[in-house]
Amino acid sequence: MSVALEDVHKEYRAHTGSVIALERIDLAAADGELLVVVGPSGSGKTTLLRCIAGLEQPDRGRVSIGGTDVTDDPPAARDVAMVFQEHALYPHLSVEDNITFGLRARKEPEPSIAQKLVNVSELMGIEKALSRKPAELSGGERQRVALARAIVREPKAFLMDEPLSDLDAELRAYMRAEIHALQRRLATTTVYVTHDQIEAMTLGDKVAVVRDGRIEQAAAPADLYDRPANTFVARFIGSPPMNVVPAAALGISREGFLGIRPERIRLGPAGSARESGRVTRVEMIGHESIVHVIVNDEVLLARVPRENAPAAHSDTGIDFLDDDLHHFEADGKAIR
Amino acid sequence: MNAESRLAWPYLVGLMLLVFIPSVAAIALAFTDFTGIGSPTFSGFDNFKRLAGDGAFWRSLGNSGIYVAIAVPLRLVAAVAIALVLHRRSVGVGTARAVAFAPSVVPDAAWALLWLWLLNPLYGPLAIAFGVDFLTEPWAARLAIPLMGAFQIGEAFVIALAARSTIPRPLYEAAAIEGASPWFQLRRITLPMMAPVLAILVLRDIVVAVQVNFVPALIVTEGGPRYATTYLPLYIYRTAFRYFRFGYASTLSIALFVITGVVVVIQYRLARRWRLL
Repeated sequence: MSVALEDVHKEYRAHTGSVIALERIDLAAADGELLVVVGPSGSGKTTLLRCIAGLEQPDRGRVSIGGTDVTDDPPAARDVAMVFQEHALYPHLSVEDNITFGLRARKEPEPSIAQKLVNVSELMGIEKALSRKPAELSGGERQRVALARAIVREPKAFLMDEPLSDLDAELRAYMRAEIHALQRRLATTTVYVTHDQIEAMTLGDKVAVVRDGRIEQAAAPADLYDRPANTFVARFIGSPPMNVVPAAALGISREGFLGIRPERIRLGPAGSARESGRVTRVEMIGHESIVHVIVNDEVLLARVPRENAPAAHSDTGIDFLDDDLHHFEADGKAIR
Repeated sequence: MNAESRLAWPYLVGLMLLVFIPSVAAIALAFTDFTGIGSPTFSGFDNFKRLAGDGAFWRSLGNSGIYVAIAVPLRLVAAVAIALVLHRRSVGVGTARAVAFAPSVVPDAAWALLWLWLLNPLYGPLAIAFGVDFLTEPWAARLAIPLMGAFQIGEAFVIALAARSTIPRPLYEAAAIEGASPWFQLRRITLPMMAPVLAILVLRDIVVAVQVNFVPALIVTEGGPRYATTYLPLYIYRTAFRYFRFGYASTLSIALFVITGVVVVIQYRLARRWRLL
């Protein structure tokens, strides 16, 4: 079922002053869609998720699930499942009791609980762990149990709050793929919060970039990459980030900024190229190198094949196509 | 010897002088007749034989058992209930916590005098409100003394408060999203997660409860009516300081010590078996 936020506003008041956590949020995940909300820490993305779950009450605006307004409904009435950052597994209960907690709370008949437990533990490959306590599980197993607990209730939507942040890099990549496959298979609308732009790009049907409680851009991953709406999104998405420099630094005389992806810069002999600069640093990252070049007092990063990388402290020419340039106003907005 | 262990010396000396030596002396005294005048005369196991046939001892032990059976659950439920109500920070909670703790800092004698007034058959508010004469009805007196203790639960309250605050909030949020009612959360999350601490509280409270009834029984009911509130500590006190049978009083004290010890060991074993500790 679809999940939608309309004009949602949330402010936290304390005696030290108030903080705007969410400002006029309009965002929707279509039925079966995987929407990733990505942003730096403190950007309000978790608050956004908690507003959908009903753990926070927005000051203004509407939250709807499956087209029904649930803004004033308590969490239990919304029929969503949430996967928390630290999993929030009940430490004193076995895996089995953790998974069936919600079913028992809703007083489902025991035969139906038993059947669902079998199905979900097979699906997640945790049949052998059912009698163990969370403390006796590995990080990956805990993650699976947390997912199983969400799946078993067959909710209208999954809400995931940085579910992979506790895992090491290798396991994270693995679980990321697994969550993606699982979401495709179940086709349950999912809102996934992360600070990791790679996670966002690889998982999302749609990615919403948030900063300071506002949505900077919500679009398909390729659109975000190819057509960032402003300099924040341009720099946030992509690794290494897009070069965003004053237009004059690339020899174009106008106000505002120009952006160019590191892989769109070609380095060659100085003299014949559009611009020239001095290499300050070369980072070898495998078959490619990240070259730091100072051009007209601005640092540009270029991502080039390893064998084409110039030596550090040498002069180099810089070439790029006009089509690869992103144009931004002085206030950071993209010029289209 | 390093500096830290030297710091332990005053404590060890005090323990020796004030606890260990008197304890050994009491054990020795238990095998004597001693009235406080003259020197103790060795009497072998006479005191222990007398204890076995002493109706007053068994009655006092029974009274103590009744007290523990009423007071410990009452105190535990009160402490945990107040802790659960007051664990959230909000307006007035600080004051309410102080109020909950306050009776525990009132000296026992003053607390007893207050209750002597509350329970007074002629003008005591509680006696009038319930229409019961707590000081002449044995069953009522057996309730009144544990009831007095049910308000002096400051320490257990603070410990329960700390135990509750260690339960991570996301567990309750997850439960709320899963549709668990507050009652379900209490039964399936809060109490099970507090259980190890509650087990220790009960263990400790039984040891304490055996002893704390001395002052109220002495001041409020004077062991009556009809010996209904003559608990072991009061019986030992009277044996020693009213009847001057210090030898026999020592025997009674050892009996109290051993019985308490046995109860604690049984309880500890049970708690281990139930995986609470």
